[in-house]
Order: sequence, then C-alpha cells, then structure tokens
Amino acid sequence: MWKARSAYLFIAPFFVLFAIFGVFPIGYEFVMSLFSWSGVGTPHFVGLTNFTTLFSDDLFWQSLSNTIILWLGHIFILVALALGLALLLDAPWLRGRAIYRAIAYLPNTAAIAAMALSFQLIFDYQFGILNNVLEVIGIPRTDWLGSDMWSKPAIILLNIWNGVGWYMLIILAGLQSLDSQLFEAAAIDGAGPWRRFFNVTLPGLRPTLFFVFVVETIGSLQLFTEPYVLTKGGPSNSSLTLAMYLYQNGFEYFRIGYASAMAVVLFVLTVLTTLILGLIWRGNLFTRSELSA
Amino acid sequence: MSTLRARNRLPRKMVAHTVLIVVSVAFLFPIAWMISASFTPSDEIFSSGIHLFPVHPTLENYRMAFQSFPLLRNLGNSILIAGVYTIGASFLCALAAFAFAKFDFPFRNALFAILLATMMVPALMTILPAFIIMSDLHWVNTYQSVIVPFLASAFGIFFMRQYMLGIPDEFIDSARIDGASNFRIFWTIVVPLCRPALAVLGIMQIIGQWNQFLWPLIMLRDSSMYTVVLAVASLPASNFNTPWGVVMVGGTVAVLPLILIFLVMQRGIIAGIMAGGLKG
Repeated sequence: MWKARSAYLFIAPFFVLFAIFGVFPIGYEFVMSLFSWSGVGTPHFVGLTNFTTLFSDDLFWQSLSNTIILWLGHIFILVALALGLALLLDAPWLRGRAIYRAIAYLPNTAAIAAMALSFQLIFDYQFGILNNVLEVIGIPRTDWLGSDMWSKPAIILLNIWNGVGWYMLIILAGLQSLDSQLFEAAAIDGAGPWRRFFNVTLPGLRPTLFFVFVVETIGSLQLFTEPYVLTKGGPSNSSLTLAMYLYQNGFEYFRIGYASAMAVVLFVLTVLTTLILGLIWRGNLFTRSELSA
Repeated sequence: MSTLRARNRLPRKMVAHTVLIVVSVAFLFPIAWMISASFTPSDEIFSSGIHLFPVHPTLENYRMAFQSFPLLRNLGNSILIAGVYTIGASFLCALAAFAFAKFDFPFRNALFAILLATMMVPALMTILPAFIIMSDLHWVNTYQSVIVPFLASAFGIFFMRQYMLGIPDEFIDSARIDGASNFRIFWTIVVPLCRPALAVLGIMQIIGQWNQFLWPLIMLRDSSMYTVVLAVASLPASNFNTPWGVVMVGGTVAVLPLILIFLVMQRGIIAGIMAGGLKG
C-alpha cells in the first residue's frame, strides 16, 4: 500500500464525469421542476405548480400504476425463476451445466430493442406463433399486444426472457460462495433437502437476493425500452410507463419543467423503495466485504 | 439409504434435463425465430401454419433491407461507438481501479463508497439535463455524445479493483525500487497482469454500449448517425410498409454480432460476471 498524490489524478476522470453527468443533472432537475420552460426562451418560476398539475394528471397516475404493476408483476417470478435455475445449475451431478448456463445468459446479450421486434411477431394475434401453438393445445387466441389486459403480461414475458439469465449467474455466484461445511453439518444433523434449503441456503443468499431485488427494482421503475418498442405504451395507455411519459413530456412536448417534476417524483420513489427493501432485509447492499481492501 | 439414493438418481437427472431443455428452448426460440424469419418471404411469415423453417427460403429480405436502409452505415456506427467507448472506458476504469486497489490516500474508502452508490442513481433522472448540456456543447447528433458520458463506469472500476486486489504487491514493489513512476508501473506492469480481466470487462462494455437504446434515441437525430440497434427499432416506424421479413433482417443484423462474440468468449464472460457480481 503506497501513499501518492497521483492516486487522485487516477480517479479524477470518474468523479469529474460523474459531477458533470450525474450530480449536476440531479440538482438541475430539482431546480427545473420549479420552472416552466419549453426549451427555448427564458424559464419562468412557477413554484410547485408542476407538482400540483402532475398530481391531478390522470395519465401520470396511470403511468405510475402501470409501472408499479409491471414491477410487482414480474419481480417475484423473475427472482424465483433465476433462483430455481441457479439451484439446478449448481448441482454437481448435472452434466452440461456450462452449456445450460451459457444458453440462459444468451438473451442478455441480445439488444432488447431489437428482440422486441421478434416478440411483436411472436405475439401477433392472427399469425403469431404463440397463438398458433396455444390454439393447438386448446387455449383460445389471446390479443397480447392489442388489449389492455394482456399488454402488460407481454412486456413482462419479454422482460423475464431477457433478464433471468443474468440474475441466475449472480445467484449462482452467491450459492458457490456459501460454506459447504454448513450443508454437511446440516446433513449430518439429519436435515433433508428442503430444510437445508430453507435453513442454510436461503439465509446464506440473503445479501445476494437483496442485491438482486434492489437492482431489478431500480431498473423496473425506469422501464422504457420494452414498452416503447413492443407496445408503444398502448393500447389506450395500458402499458405507458413513468419513464415513457417522462420521455414524451421532455422530448416530444418540450415541457421541460413538467418532465423534471416527474423525474423528481421518480427519484423520490426510487430512494423510498430502496430504503423499504433495505428495512425488510436489514442488510447493507455492499456487505460482502467489498469496502475493505 | 444408499440403494434408495442410487435408484432416485436417474429420474432426478432426467427431470432436471427435461426442465432445462424446455427452458433452453424458450431462451433460444425468439432469437432463432427472428433469424429464420429473416430468410422467409414476408407473405409466408403471415400465414397461419406453424413452420419453424421457411418453406421457400430467400435472400430477398436481406437485399431489400440493405438497399432501402443505411444498415451498413449503422453497423459501422455501432462498431465505432462501441469500439472507441470500450478502449477509453477500459483504460479509465483500470487506472482508477489501480488507485483504489493499491494506494492509500485520505478519503479513499469514502470515495469508493460514493462510487458504488452512484450505481444506484436512476439514469432516467439525468437524461433531460444531460441533453441540455449536450446541446450547449453542440454535441447533439455526434458520436462523442453517446460515448463520453459513460466513459468512467463505476461498475468497470469496481470490477477491475476486485481483480487488482489479487495482484501481489511485490510485483509493484520491485518496480518502485527501480524508480518507475506510478503511471509507468500501471502501464508496464499492472495492465499486462490484468489482461484476462480487461478482456472480460471489454466484452461486457461492448455488449452494454452496443445495446444501449434510450440515450442514443435522444442524442442521435439522423438515421445515418443511428446505431444499428436504434435503426432497427425504428424500422417499423420509419416506413409503415416495411415488410416484416425486412424488419427481421434488421433484428438479426443488430443481434447476431454480439451473439457470435458471446459464443466465442462465453467461458470468460460467465466467469467474469460471477466474479464481479455486479452489472454496468
């Protein structure tokens, strides 16, 4: 371990860039949320008007509830699938684990914006292969992308398909860091596989699962690409997310102050949910001695 | 007990493989379907039968796609943006990681904690002001606008630091005694030792940058400046009559290069993700 002033020089690029593209924008967003501005001319101060307008804007409430439904509607399924896959792919008696892992991770490397087009074709009401196959097994055709009821499940399917492999790898890494002596001791004490899972595996995975929930929650609250390409927020705004509505206001209607107010709401929402998750877990995100050199 | 176990083992394996094969098909299908559709005449895509492969395979979609849209230019844009970004970001990340891993300086742990915390900032929070900065710089619709803001990635620094912690201090000590400067030590000793980690980080950065959507959508305005992912996602919108076969060509062109890179490097990538345990 050496002491050197040049260390500050080495880390400076990160902090300079973060100051410009992170700290400044956040501060700016809070200030702009108090102004009315169309992007040209002088912004003028309007106090909390943007927020009062926002809280009486039906579309804002709909986009907020869509976002929360999409988040709660997929996160437990996603984590359960990732956990199940990780447990299976951790089994030492299973052959071909490396191949299965690679296949599960593959969707994560495919651009979601491009894959949404493939899913559009798969979900097509009349000619999509999903409905064709469902009809063969006797399930009636579903208007995935054209009905208020099914647009969210369609987005969730794309989301899970894309993300589950990455979380599987993270949980797998968590599983492999568990102390195998604990399992042996539990087995000697006569604990069956289910008891070992609930009393040894799950408690050991607590920090990993906390990390998974936090990262996926922060990502879901900003969900943009999937609805933007797959459903364009429709039909009748049934899949319009907070992120899409913010984008529309900021970059299509040029209501900079109004969009900033939405960003502030999103920020508060993100911080609150992360804090609540932290309280539920009572664990720190970076407990795994990441901070000690 | 042991005979019971032996008897249980075969069905257990069979159940596991059956489940995993079904899941694998579900993972691969949308990609395979897209590639298959790119070789299928558009009127055949919209027929009610279930065909996994085109009945009348054709290259017509590819001819039309590359003729009507600047897809080659878009591919070039993606390669340029992802390439320049990856080289710059790998360098800056390794440099900062070196400082955090091998130097002791006031506020080091606090600064590192701040760095980790920045990963939690919602990116959506920053896009409007960042766009305004970019227009003041006259950077809208330029390559640098989609490269520069992400150059120093917190994830990359974290990932490289974890790897550098494993490099024995003696390697660096001997160079110090010889009077080498800190940067020289970094460049001639640390970087070569980090090659495997840099390769994994580089691939992850290429994938992350190539697949970006929202920020390029905001910054890049002309279709000739679009990345391939952005160009492809706007194919159905740019022309309402774009045949689906052509759209599927776009999807294939946008997705396939990374899949090929992944297939070649998959061992390293998967080991790297599991070692890093965090996403960019």
